Amino acid sequence: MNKTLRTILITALVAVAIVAIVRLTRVRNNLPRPAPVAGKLVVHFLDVGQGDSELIQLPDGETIVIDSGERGSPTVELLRKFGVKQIDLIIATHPHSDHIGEMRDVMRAFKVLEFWDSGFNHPTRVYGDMLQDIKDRGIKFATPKRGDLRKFGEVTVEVLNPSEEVPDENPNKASLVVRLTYGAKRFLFTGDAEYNAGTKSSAWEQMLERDRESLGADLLKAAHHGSSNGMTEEVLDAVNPSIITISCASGNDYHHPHPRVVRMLERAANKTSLYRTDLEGTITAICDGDTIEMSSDRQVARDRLYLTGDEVAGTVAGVGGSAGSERGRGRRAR
Amino acid sequence: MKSASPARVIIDRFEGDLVVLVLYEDDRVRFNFPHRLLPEGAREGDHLLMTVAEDSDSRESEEKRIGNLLDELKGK
Repeated sequence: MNKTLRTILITALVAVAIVAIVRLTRVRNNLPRPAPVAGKLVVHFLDVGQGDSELIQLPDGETIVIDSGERGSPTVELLRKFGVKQIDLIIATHPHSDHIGEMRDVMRAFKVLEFWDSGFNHPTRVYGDMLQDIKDRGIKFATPKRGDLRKFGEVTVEVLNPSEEVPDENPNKASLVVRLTYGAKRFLFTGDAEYNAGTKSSAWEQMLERDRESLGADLLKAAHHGSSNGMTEEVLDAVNPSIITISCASGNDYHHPHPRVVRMLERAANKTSLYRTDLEGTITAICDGDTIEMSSDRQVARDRLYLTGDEVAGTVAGVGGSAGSERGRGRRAR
Repeated sequence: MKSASPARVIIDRFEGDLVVLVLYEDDRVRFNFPHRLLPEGAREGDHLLMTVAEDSDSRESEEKRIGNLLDELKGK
């Protein structure tokens, strides 16, 4: 047998073994959280491990879920905990498994009225089975494009990406990017939108080229779990958020968040507050239209907040319980 | 040489130097794999057949090497 093939086989076996061990050792810490608040917009950045899922409870009681997290993540359990009975709209930003893996279980657990999808043809079982379920359940389906708007009472949902043409080479480029506006406050949900310098077709480059002057938001969910291609100085300048959230797992294998992103956010710390699901668990933003109140499952010492993904991975055992200048629940953001 | 039936896996996504592979028959099973060991030109969404075969020559050679080392270390 040739040497390369041998190496491939051994590597595959080791990888399967490691995944099995990691899956068995996940630990979760879910504290009770407030129910929907009448008249307020409540956004939960759910602690689903390595992936994305956001629950949005609108002032008039309607519910939007953006992404479901990876297959096997506790999304349904978290949605139930936050009092979800029915989902008015699901938005699947793009068809990678860490964003749609748990969609079928979500659709099984809750009545879903409408589904927005990127429309990117990603030929995986996970995506195909999700579409089949949407079809079988008769859920209203749409692939909205840049410029599409939907009003939910006083909240406006606006699509910023993709444009009319869905790129066909990379699902991240097709990421549905939506902005919610309630009163004076705007929330930008970016999926895995990437900035790939030199490739004009990347989602951030397209958005910056088309809409640079109108990309502003008070809260930005960092794209692609804080990876180096999800967040750049140019993106930060254009969006100019006072709050940034990063959704990833502590000890993840993909170096999220990336050192360059962490250093950039640390330099911007005087004008932008950072929240991380890997350190703080589920992060909640409550907005009355004028202010945004932030809270989280766990407190994190300020000196840990700007650790890179790899630095967190090296000290996973210490996450969530250390001393120091604590921050956490009930902070009022700018 | 013993080998199992090829496993059908799908490239769900690229994550830096790694790719995330998902088992076709059971999407709860996924694992990271070095990007550089994929067939050249592999893209996200590609379906792959992954053959897992026993390499008894490699095992024997390693056993021999370790046996020699143990003998040396134990001062034989």
